[in-house]
Amino acid sequence: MSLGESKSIVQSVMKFAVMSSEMSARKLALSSTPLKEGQLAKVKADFIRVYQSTLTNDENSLQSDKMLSSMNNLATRKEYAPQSMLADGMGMVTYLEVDTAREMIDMNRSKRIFEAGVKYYNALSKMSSAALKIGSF
Amino acid sequence: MELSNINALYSRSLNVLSELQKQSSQNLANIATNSGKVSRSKFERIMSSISTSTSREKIAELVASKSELHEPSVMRLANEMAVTQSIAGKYELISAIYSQQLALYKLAVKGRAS
Repeated sequence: MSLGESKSIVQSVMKFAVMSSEMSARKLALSSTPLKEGQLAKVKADFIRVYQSTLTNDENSLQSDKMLSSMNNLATRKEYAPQSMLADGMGMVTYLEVDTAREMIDMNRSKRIFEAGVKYYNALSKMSSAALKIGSF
Repeated sequence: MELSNINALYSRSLNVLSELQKQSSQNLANIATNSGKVSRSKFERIMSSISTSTSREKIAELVASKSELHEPSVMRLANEMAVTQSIAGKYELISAIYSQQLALYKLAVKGRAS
């Protein structure tokens, strides 16, 4: 009567939700920050590092190629701001292109998934304690 | 039906429920990653096809083979939560009955000894 596998799946889901929420928060923070030259590559590397360090090899089922490719293909937008110290020769400043509404929805979704994970975990703990009580009369 | 058979049946039903809980956890993982369909097996359906000698591995196979795939819906997170609570409830109920059964055994043994 092992419930350990279910528990580890739920733990991975909770880790995934936290990671996904962190990604969205990072994107939102960067959406209004001008990027220095070469900073985009560092941002991409940071995103991939967080993603890969959160999920261990045992959690391959949660690793989606779609998510990795979205991190590799971060888009940028340029705005005319010649007074900025980070403006290029044409007076344009580079920002990370972020769909703020999408990111907010993703953050909310991650929160709900995390809450669901907590409830799952509690249900599994209740089941484990019920199993332990067998024969204790 | 012998008492030992009843106990074996309780034990199998707890195994079935833990397999169903695992299936539900995997559904939750699929919801988190937006991948795959939701698979669902019915407790009663699995129970009707096992005997007191069915192994845990065989139960896992049965849960996988008797599952129905459903298209993901907007309510799937809420549905999964309801399913997991229902499984946990059944699990607690069966383990409590199992426990009562063992208490009766103990009483019978004591009665014979005195």
